[in-house]
Amino acid sequence: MKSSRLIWMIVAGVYAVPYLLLILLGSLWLWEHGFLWQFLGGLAALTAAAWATIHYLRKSQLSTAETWRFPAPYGRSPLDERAWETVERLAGKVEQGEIPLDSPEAAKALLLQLLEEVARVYHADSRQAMLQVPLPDVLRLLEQVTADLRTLVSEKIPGSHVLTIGDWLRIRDWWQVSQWAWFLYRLASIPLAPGVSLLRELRFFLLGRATQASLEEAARRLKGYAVRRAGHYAIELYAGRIAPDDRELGRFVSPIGRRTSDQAESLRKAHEAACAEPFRVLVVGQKKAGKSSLINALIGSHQAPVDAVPCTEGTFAYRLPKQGEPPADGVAFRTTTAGPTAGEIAADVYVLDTPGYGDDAPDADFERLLPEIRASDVIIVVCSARNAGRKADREFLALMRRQFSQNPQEIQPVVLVVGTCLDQLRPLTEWNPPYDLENPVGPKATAMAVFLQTLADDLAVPRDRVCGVSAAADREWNVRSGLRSLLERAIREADPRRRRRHLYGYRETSVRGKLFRQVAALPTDLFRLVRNHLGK
Amino acid sequence: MSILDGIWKKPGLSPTELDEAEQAVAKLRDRLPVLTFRLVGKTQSGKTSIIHALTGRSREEIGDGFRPCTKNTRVYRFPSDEQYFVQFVDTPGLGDVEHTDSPVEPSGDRQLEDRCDCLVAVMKAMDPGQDAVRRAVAEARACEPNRPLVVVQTCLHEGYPWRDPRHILPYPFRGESFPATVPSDLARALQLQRSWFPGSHVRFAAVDFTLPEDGYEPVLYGLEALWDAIEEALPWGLREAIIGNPELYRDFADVRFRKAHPIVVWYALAAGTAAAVPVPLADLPAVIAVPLLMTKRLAAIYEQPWNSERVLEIMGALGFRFATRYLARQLTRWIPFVGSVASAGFAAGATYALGAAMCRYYGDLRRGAAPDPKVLRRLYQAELKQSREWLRLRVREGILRDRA
Repeated sequence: MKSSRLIWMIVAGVYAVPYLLLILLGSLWLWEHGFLWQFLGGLAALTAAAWATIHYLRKSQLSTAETWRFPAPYGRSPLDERAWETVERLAGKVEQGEIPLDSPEAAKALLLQLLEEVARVYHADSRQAMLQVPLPDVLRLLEQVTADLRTLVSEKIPGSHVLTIGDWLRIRDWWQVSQWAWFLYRLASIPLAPGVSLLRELRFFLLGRATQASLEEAARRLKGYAVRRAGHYAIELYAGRIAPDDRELGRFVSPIGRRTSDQAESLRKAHEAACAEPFRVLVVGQKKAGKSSLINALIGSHQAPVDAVPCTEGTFAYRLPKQGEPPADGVAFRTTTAGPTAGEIAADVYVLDTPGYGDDAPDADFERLLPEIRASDVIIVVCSARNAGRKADREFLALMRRQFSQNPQEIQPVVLVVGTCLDQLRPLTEWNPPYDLENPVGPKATAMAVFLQTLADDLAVPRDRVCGVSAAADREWNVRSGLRSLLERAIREADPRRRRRHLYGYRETSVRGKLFRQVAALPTDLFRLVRNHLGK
Repeated sequence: MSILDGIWKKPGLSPTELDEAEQAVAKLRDRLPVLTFRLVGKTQSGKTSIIHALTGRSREEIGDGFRPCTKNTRVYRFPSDEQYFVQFVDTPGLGDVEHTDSPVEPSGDRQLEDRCDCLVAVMKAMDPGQDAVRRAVAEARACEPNRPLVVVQTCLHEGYPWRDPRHILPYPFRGESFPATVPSDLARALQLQRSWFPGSHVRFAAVDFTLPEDGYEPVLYGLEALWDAIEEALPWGLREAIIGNPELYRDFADVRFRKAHPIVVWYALAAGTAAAVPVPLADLPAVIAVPLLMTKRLAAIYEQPWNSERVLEIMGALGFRFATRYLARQLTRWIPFVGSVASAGFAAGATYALGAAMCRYYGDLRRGAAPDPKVLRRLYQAELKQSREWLRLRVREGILRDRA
């Protein structure tokens, strides 16, 4: 080991010889050619300029009071700021040299003073403020200091990751040796070359002054840094912010935080769950009012049977294609021009066809339809323009209103009225859709507007809940545009009802199911109980 | 006796005598045989159109097809509210929304509520929701199952699969089954409605009474079939009473004649009723007043000056001899019942024939032609023969009803 080091050193010396020779030869050349004085003068001038610059820089840096800030992941409260002021004050004193920091004893005293003052900020009432700190925090602080130190050393000191402590000690030894060698060389060279040596000594003196100034500055700043760093740790310690184990902390959620996230999660799940329940749009109306034709036009395919004589016997459900989804016959929806379209309707929408109710007294038919009505979110009352008899429709709606006013815990379904067969209005020969029913122009549009207004008046529904369409296959108009957007609006409005229906439906079935399971489990539990008792 | 005196002394009537005659005629009004049709149908099913089609009245009262015109029981009396021999009782709009702003006033005419010679059930062919109509018909027929019923199925075009305004011609809806020209959906819808009314006292008629601007031709599609059904259900001769004998009036049947003819029928019935009163001599003022007042009305319709002297002269020329006929009638009247009916039928027939002749007379005057006495007499004689029978029956019916 030793021999190899020696060999390395000899190699380095041999390598350095030409450069040393270069300096000597260069000086010799300058002296022989008479440029030596000029060179020395230039050298002195440059050194002086460098010294002056360093001096100036140190002055200006001192004047701009530097503020040290350490990362504060938890932010700083006004109390923290007060404690920091204390730290800054001490650091300032150290930097100014008012507090000496040149021995371990002095450092210890300063550290104690620092801790005492910071602790007093946080525990003003306590007599022994400095001790108001749990032991695990102190240990954790030590861990943190060590970790920070490690980062500092490994990142800021060149070669720290390769050089061992032994290397460092050796470097220190070598440094001392080289200092001696240097001193001997300087001493020996004076008699040999007095001029050059004197000049050199002069340069070294000037350089030394400059270097010493910057070194002092660096030391001063280092001391300030150390005090602030220590103060920072003290603040974190006494403020109770020394974090426990990161892994432990990562697993921890505060009770209120957990409550909040649980709540949000349950809401999200409830929303997701509620989407499972489809919307039910019940289409009712007198016989041959055109319920099935309307549904066919709405879903865009001929699925509901339509006949000249009443043919719908039970209640049948048809799925309404979603916005943008092509209907079964492949004809895309016309883009809606009116009505808010914000927010896609997530749940499925089913349109239900029902048998027509009688024109005379719809009571019996209403009773028959009541379960379907109570389980629906939107009710579409279909009235044909061919049939002016509205008594049954009005009575049906009155029965429905009475039904829901007797059950105030239920939300009423949204009621829409659709006037069909608008093409059958006079004049019969005219059919040039689209018609503007808001500002009717011409006899047909006027007849339509009058009809829809009469419809709204007869059935006592707001006019904006009434939509006129023609659902005939060859004269389809306003079904997939006007009615569709009106229906979507109604569906959005009926969403609370659907959710309630979903929830109460679940409660009802689950309560019943649980009860059943409990009752079913009762004999087994009893048996087990008796057996255990006998076993004893 | 003043009128009779006047006739003997001087031809013509004084204003007071006219007033007296008007009052005598007014008294007859309630005793006239009146035909009552009760219309049962949902609102806007076409009841009013049927009345207009049957009577030939204007369509001004037909709405735009939506707002029901009939709110309460409404009576259409034909030819006019004062003088009528047929009335259509329109039931309150079945299936119609009761509007609170028009309260249903209690019907003061109990008799009108009960009277019904023929029930007319009106329903849209393509509307199977007819519970209310079926119930109303069942109620009306419960006490009298044999009461004639005519089921009118309207708005046939709603069942056409084609969009152009075109009716099926020739009219295919007579008989039990329909030919292949009828669209199957329409045929099934019609048969479904017909199956609701079984029985031999039911007649069916499929009609489509449209507006001229709708473009359908003929506008009154199926009117013939409807008339046939009514005549079959109720052999009263109503059609002839309303529009007259088309063969006899072909050459002078114009707007005025159509208006005048039902009035002639009314006066004929009034004369018959007056003559049927089994009290001798009591009817004399009316018997003479009725023809005279009739000619006065006809002159007004034809916008011709009326002169009682002139009219009596014509009446005399036509053989309308009061004295002899009056005496003959007084003799027959002593034979109870038969006699009165016979004299009533005679009076009615004579008055009708006179009315027809006067229409011709005033019509000729209005056209600026000189009335030919021979033509008038021939017409009078023809009508006297033709009309006597059904008028006699009508008068007899009225008397029978009165006695019942």
